[in-house]
This record gives sequence, structure tokens and C-alpha cells, in this order.
Amino acid sequence: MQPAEPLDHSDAQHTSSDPSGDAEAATGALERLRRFGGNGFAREMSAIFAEQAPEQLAAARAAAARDDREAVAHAAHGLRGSCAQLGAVHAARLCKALETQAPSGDLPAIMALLAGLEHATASHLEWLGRELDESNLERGQ
Amino acid sequence: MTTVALVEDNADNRLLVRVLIGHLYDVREYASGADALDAFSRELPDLVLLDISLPGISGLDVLARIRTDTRLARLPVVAITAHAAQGERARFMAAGFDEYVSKPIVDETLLLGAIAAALARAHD
Repeated sequence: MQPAEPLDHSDAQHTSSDPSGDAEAATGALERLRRFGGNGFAREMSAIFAEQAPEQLAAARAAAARDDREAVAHAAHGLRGSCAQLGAVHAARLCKALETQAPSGDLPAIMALLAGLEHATASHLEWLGRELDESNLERGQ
Repeated sequence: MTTVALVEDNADNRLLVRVLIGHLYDVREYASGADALDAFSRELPDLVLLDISLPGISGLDVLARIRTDTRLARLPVVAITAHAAQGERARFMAAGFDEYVSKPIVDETLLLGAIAAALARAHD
């Protein structure tokens, strides 16, 4: 099964996207987590991401609302590391765009990137959930 | 057991590092630079793994405080960061880090190697 990383056209002007490459990278990242610590560890990483990512996105959105560009970039940077580690390639790309644009970009573009990022992280979490559930079924857990 | 202080605000990254090195080192975790510096005033670790992008005091500022404190100055400090742009490694090494590991961590041997190299140099 491939990760459902939707193309968000609102960020198309800022980022490039390769859905098949992204899917491969996501699968590779999940396999790497399993190699590091087994399926239980991968599930734990996914659970932390599920809790942490919405908080980081909310922090970025709140910072954007008060026009605190440094805080937007900081939240995006933190989220980028987690996205990259968990194979959320498209989301990581959007984080990078947000980090780059936050200091001087116009606010509507930043808000559009944030919306795309929220969608991309939610999609990746859904994919992770499906992958990890399937692997549990295969293992009879 | 050799103690490694891990200064990292993201819980997933702390868990990842703990899983990768916890069987070899006694890992002490800190979610902020302030917490880490406070702990170092009471007990010195053998090595510090330091994220650059931290809330409050940045990793670079934590490093500066370590290097200017005579009690802490010789601590080996490894940067662990998603700032992976070309030239960043040189900038961090020039700032006084002993080693540099980029995130995401895709090869655990790079992390283990950086820790081992920094510890070996500290014992020379």
C-alpha cells in the first residue's frame, strides 16, 4: 500500500513533488524504524508524532496569527525533523518551504502552506496507522 | 557506564536516540538547554548530544555557555540537527562542536561513530 500524500496545489508554486518517490521514501522510513526498534517502536514513534504534530501546527498557526515569524519558522523546523524521520516527505518539504518563507513571506502564502502542511501530516498519519495496523494483523497481534 | 546527555525538545527524537544508543550509554534526557545546563551544574555527563533548534536558549547558545564555563569547557559536544544545508557542518564545527550528526537519522552507525570519536578525542 502506498501513502496517501495528496498534492496540494496551493503550495505547488513553492515546492516540487514526486508522489512515487515520496511513497518509496515513506515505506523506507517505516522499515528503518522497524529495523531500529521493531514494530512496537515504530508504533510508539507514530503515536508521539500523532500527539506532537498537531501541537506544532497549532503553535505555527498561532505564531502566524500574531505575525511572529521567528516562532513560525521554529515550529516548522521542529516538525520538519519529525516528518523526515517518519517518512512524511511531502510534509517535510512543506515545512522547509514554511521555514524559508516565514521570515519575509506574505501572510496569505504562509497560511496556505500551513493548510497544506496540516493536510499532509494528517494524510501521513492515516497512512502510518493503516501500515502499522496491517503489520499487526500479519503478525497476529 | 558512560553518560550521554541528550538535549532535544522533540519527544520522538529523544525516543529514537534512546533506542539507538541506550544499550551502550546511560542516556540522560533534557527537553531544553536551560534544563540541561541546570543539571550540568550538579553533575557532569561524559558527552552531550545537542540539538541546535531548541526553544528558549538555542543549541548554539548552550554550546557557547559550555565552552566559556571552565568546569564544562572540555565536555565533548555533538551537534544533532536538521540544519543540513551545505556549509552548515563547517559552521557548527567552527562554533566549537566536536562532531556533527544530521537528522533524520538514517544510519545509526553515523551517530554511534560520532559519539565514539568525540569521546576518544576527549580522552586523548
